[in-house]
Amino acid sequence: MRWIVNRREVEREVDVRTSLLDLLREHLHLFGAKKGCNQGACGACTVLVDGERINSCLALAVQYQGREITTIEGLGAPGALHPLQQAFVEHDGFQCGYCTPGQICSAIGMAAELRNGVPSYVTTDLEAEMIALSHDELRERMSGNLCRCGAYNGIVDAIHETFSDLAAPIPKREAA
Amino acid sequence: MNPFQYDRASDVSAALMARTRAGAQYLGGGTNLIDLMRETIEHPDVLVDVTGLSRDIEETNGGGLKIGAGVKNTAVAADRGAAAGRRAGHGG
Repeated sequence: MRWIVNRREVEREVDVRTSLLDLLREHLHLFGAKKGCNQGACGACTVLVDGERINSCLALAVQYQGREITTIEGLGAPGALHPLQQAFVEHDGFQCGYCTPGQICSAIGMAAELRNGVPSYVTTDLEAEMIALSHDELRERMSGNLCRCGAYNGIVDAIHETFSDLAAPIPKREAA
Repeated sequence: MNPFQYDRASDVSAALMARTRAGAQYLGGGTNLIDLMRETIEHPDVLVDVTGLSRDIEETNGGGLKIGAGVKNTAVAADRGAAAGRRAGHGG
C-alpha cells in the first residue's frame, strides 16, 4: 500500500483494520497527530487529506491509498514554523500541547472551507462566494477540536490573526 | 475490531454486486461505522468502500437533487441546490 505523506511517497503493508492515525503514528513514526478519544469526538487526530480536514482515527489507512496526507510535521519545522504555529506560540494557544497539532491542521482546513464558501450551522448568507471568519463562525467551525487545558482564548486569537484576510466583507455571488 | 475483507468498489454495479455477499456492508464516510466496528458492535465480513464512487450532486427535472454515493456531508452543505432547499425550509 502506498500513500503520499507530507509530500513524500511511503509504502507499507498494514492490516486493513489499521486506522490512518495508527499508520501515521505506529508505522511511520509521525507522532504529531494524537490519539485522544479514538472515536471522532476530540479532534486531536485531525490531519489534512488533499487539503481537507479529517479525523484520522475514524479513517482506515487502506481507504486513503494514493492520497496526499499532511500532518503537523508537514506544515512546519523547528526554526521554520508555519505562521499559525508561530501565532499559537505568541498567543499562548496551548498549555500541554496535546490538542495543538489537531487544532492547527483543523484551522488550516477550516480556512480553505471559508474560502470555498462552505457554510456552517451559523452561516446566514448561504449564497456567499466566500465566508468571513467571524467570532461565531470560528467557534462553530472549530468546535470539533477540544482543548482540555482550556486555552481557547489564545487559540481563537491565533487563528484570527493568522487568517485576518478572511475577516474582510463578504463578496456576493453574482445572480445566476 | 474483527477481521474483514476490504473491497473498493470501482463502479455502481460492482458496489451492488459486492453488497449481495454474506456479511457485506458499505463504507461511506466511516463516522458511524469504524467506531462501532472497533467496539465490535458492527462486524462486517466484507467492507465495501463506496467512497470512490460519484461525488456529483445533480439537480433532477422534478426539482430534486441526486446525491452521489461518494458525496460528503460537507459537499452537500456547500452545494447551492441543497442550500436553496435549506433556505426554502426543506430538510436540515
